[in-house]
Amino acid sequence: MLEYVISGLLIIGAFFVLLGSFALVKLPDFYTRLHGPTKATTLGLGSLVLASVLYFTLSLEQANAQPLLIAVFLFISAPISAHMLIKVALHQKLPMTEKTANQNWQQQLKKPTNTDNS
Amino acid sequence: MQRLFPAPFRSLLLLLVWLLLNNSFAPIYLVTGIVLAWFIPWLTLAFHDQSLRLNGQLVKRLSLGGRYLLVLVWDIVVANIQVVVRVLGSNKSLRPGFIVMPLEIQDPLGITVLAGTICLTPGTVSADVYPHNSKQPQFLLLHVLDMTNEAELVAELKQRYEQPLLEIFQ
Repeated sequence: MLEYVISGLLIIGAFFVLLGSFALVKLPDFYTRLHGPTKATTLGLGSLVLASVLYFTLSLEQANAQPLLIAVFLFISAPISAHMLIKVALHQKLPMTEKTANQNWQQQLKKPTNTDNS
Repeated sequence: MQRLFPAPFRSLLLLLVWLLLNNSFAPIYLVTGIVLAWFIPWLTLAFHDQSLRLNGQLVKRLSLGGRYLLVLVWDIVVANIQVVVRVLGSNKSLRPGFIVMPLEIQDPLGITVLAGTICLTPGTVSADVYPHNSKQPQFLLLHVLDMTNEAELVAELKQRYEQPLLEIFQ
């Protein structure tokens, strides 16, 4: 039973990591491509880490918390790196797909009366 | 004690992480851990803004934080499934866009946690905080992968993540 759970977690994890990488190839511009690795990969790696913890503690009976630390560091660092990447992209004015709504968000900021009430 | 360990929580956290990293409670790791737990907070004390120290109601804060974490884990799972569906769908049906979200929360750590949460959850990546001067009301710039209703999304983010964070970090 335990092995089914672990195998299931491994397959789910691999699936999400694969799709996160696939998103990098498929999506139209830099800004949308960033969504793949920040989300799909965190869940994918999360379930891989969970599978590793389950296997080592329950199946081999050696308590090991290091994978949990990997998960914690990953969940802290993934949003920060994504934030830095998109900030640099905006600074360098990388091209975005024409469909992108609100490309002129800077003008919204210059009208404080517009945003104060919301 | 106060002078030896100016930031007791940070020291305790460092010691815990060090012991978990070494995966052992042997005396050698305990001693090096205590030395590091003393030395690193002492070294970095000057970087921390002392006025930011949270005071009181630790238990309430911790329980609120725990509940926030549970909601976050669930939302990460849901958000992942949504993103996967959109990635597998056609590029033409995607409606990417930017959103400016006004912030009520003022604590810098609170804003950091909020930005991180938004990165990990519903199809959004936080891109910048404006203005950089924290004395004025601030805005968070978000990039959304698939935007259906801007006002609804902002309202949901504010209600689901900003309100609990306001309670924790006020």
